Amino acid sequence: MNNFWLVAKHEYRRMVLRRAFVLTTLLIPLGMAAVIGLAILVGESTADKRPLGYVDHTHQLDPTLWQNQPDATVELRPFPDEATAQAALENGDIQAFFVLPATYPNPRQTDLYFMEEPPNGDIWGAFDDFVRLNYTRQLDPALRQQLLDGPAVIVNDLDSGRTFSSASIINIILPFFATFIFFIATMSASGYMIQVVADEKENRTMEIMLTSLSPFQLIGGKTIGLLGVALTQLGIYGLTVVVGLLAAQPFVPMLQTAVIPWAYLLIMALFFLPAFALIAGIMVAIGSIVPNLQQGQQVAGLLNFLFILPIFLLAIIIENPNAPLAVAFTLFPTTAFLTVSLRWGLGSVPLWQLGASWVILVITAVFAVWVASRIFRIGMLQYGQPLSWKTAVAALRSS
Amino acid sequence: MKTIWLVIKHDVAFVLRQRSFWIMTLLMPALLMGTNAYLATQNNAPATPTTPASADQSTPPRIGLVDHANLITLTPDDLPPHLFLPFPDETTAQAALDQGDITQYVVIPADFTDGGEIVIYDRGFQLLSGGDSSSVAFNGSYDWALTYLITANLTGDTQLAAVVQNPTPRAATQMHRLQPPASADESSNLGMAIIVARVMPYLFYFLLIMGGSYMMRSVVAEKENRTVEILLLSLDPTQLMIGKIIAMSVIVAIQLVVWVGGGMLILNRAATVMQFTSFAFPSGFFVWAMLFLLLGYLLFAAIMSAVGALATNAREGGQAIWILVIPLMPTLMFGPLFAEEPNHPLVVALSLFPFSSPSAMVTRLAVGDVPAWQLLVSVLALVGTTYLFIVLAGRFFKSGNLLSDTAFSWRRLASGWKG
Repeated sequence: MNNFWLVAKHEYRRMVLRRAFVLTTLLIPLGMAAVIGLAILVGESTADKRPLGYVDHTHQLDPTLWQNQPDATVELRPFPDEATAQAALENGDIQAFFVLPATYPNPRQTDLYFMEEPPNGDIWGAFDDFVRLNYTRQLDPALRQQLLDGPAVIVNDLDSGRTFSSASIINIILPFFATFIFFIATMSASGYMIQVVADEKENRTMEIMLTSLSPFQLIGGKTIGLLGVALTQLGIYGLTVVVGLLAAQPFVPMLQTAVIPWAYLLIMALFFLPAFALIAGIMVAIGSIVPNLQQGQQVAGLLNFLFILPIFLLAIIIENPNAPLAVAFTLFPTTAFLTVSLRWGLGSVPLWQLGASWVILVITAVFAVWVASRIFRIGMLQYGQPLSWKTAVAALRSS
Repeated sequence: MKTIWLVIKHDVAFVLRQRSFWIMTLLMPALLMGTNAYLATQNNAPATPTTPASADQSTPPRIGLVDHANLITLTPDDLPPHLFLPFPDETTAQAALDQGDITQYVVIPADFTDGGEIVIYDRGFQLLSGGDSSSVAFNGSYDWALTYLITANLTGDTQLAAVVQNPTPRAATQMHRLQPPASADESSNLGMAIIVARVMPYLFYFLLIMGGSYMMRSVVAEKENRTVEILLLSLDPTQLMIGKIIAMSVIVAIQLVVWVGGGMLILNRAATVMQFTSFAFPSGFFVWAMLFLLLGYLLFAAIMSAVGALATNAREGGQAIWILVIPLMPTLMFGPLFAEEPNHPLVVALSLFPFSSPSAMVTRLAVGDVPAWQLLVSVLALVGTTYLFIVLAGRFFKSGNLLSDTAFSWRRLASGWKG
């Protein structure tokens, strides 16, 4: 047992202290922050910040009501008639203008004038808020506030027992972040796994190590060491996300209503360990079969594809999280981890699917680890000659 | 010349024999393009109605309503008929839900007017169910109906409730476009241009990165298995480098044919599905695209051959791929911006910078006109940079480096450049 931890500790230290590991671990959150920053900059620079005009033939709209709004970011500019508003529009002083006819709000017919494109949803929404403020000003302040806020609605899902509110929408972002973070950490750990087996096979240290260790101690220790590496990476990424969210909270109102999704974190923890064991098992088996690291990486690249398939078909999963394809991905062991993470963020996942998926994943992971240990032993004995797939399968059958 | 030809023949045959090459060539781009085309098709689908005035003509869902607050006494006329079915309590509503008579049920608590929360009971609820026509919860197609019903009953005035719900419904807004687009086809072509702008950077990304990475792996493999020592007996390093660059360009050309063929098929299919006019690339596009691809490939292959000459194994060389990936990433991420705002400062900068221009300028050319001076500056910058890197790669591609066992380091790379 002592040897087991010795291997785990050695593997962990060796990986965590590598310059490439430190760089990847630090650069990925920085890169993500840079991408988000760039996207915000692009969004800001392309947004039309010119005022929105309006011509009010109902004489009901009081401009001061909007000017007194503390969170009003859009300037709304009144015009006495269509001609002056149109002149301002053609001059580029405003981006568009609404005309409320004298008959408004019966019917709620309005006219909107713009040059090429109508104003975006945020600008249009600001004008809607302004009209609402004016038409509800005669009401009791408490009722008025209730109307302006809209009714508080929660949804109880009877299939999964989960509760959703409009604030839950922000929680969709977390599984997306988490999915990518888990993906990067797990894939890099799987890359290291194949590397450690193939490396030590190539430089023959394996033969010396096996004189004082059992194959289980060696492979088990390495897996635990790399699990520690993956968890360290996840911890750093998680901490970065939490710090980022806390820093953004004062500026993004949606984030203020976000709650920590403990159930999601628990589900992910339950799926992470067998998913990691499955990847590690597959990579050890590949590392044992292939004669050198380069070939191992090629095969691993193809097998990794089976794990990341849900990312390529993200659009289909988002469009319909209960589609047969999404259900199939939930149950299939290699795609289960990412699909469950995505679907949980998007809404309810029936409990039977979660249970079945976890059981299938655990059984497959145990099987993969067993296969890996068999192939590893045969691979060791037959070192020097390439281990064919046929020999590997025959070795498994004979055990 | 004969030895160069031998190198080309061997390297092309070696890559083509790898099963992973064919899987990457056929499977990966098909999935990426399919997903992107699907996504773009969905984005162009008509929006779901969300206002009373534009109520859906399809059969409305049936929603149970348990009103413990005795709030609902008024049902606005413009709500779909029989949308809300009253139930005395949760038990009967639940039974109706289980039997499939209703799709959801809403419970208004007794303390609703004092700040209580409305609870909706559902099965298999999805947060982003914008396309689900049977939901009155947030983002559902009928979410407006629940708010409208509640507001009408709180105020006792359906007209005021309609104003609070949606003061300026899109369907009731007369749009006056004072500056119509140049051609009627413009908006439909924009949809296709966005697909092209999404797909094109992926195509160039994979072609350039895979071309560069094959180049590096091919050099490193021969260093690792020591065949380079034997090879250098019968040909000089420059011949080896030229042979490998040409061989890898053949590989990139094969991939290009497969991917462009597949891409064109997908684009035509997407154009049919979206009932758009067939997307036509601007005249001269293919000439420019080939020129940028060739120059981009030569630039990336030169960098990767230098890295390959300095690295002792594939893992060390693989780390350097990041230098090539980073400048190509913004074009991948902001693809649609190229179609929507082709003169945005970021788009212009990316299409002039030599390490991103092979992908960015071609994407820009595919979706619109580019000022001649920008095209000229971009080509000249790329030609100059490519020439510089080929000269530098020649410096690294020496017997000393090819036979060396010293590990790859950025310091070695920098000192090599200084000569």
